Amino acid sequence: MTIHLFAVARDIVGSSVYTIDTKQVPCCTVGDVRRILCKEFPELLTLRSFAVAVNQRLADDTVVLTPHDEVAIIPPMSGG
Amino acid sequence: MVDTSPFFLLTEQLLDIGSVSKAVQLPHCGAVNLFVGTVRNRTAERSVLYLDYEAYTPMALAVMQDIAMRARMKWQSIEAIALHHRVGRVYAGDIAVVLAVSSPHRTEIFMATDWIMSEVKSSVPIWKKEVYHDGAVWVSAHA
Repeated sequence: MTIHLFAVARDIVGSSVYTIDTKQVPCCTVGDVRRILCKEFPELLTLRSFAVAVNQRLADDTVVLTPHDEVAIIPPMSGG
Repeated sequence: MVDTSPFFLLTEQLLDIGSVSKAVQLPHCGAVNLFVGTVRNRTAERSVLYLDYEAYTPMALAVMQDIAMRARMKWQSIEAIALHHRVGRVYAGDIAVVLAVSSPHRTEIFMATDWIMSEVKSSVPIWKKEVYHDGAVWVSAHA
């Protein structure tokens, strides 16, 4: 499963996409994605918060993901 | 990177206040309110050289449209809303965002403008990195 990363989250992960191998790691809800990423990249925990968007809408941790979903990590926003 | 709608735009080009204003000007509207956001040259005593803006473009455009729809539900006199936002490098003194709101009469457009800008800052997936002489910081990222 491909996770898209932006801004400070991309800098922490070192890439604008991160792939979770769903054969190796049981997956997935939004909460699972959050836990997997935080375990792999603990610096994400230093962020004020981060949200997860599924198909371009914010999703809570209980949302179940399918392989076709577009998943993105949304660090604290700072437009304007 | 560029959406061609006259109402909602993310662009690496300089913003044109006139075209944002014209987008919402309608024959039966007697009022257009404009908000222009520019890049400050200082933050907490540090000189800012430029901002690097980044957007999750399709979601950002969808959220911008959703905010406009909710504003029109809150203030039914609001007729049209246009919002143009820069992405990429924006230097101190340059315009980062232009919002235009139109209505037959002016009363509600000031509140609507303020509300829309608050929503833009808190819920549109756009990020800015402040770049100084001696470093850079993603704004609001850390506690």
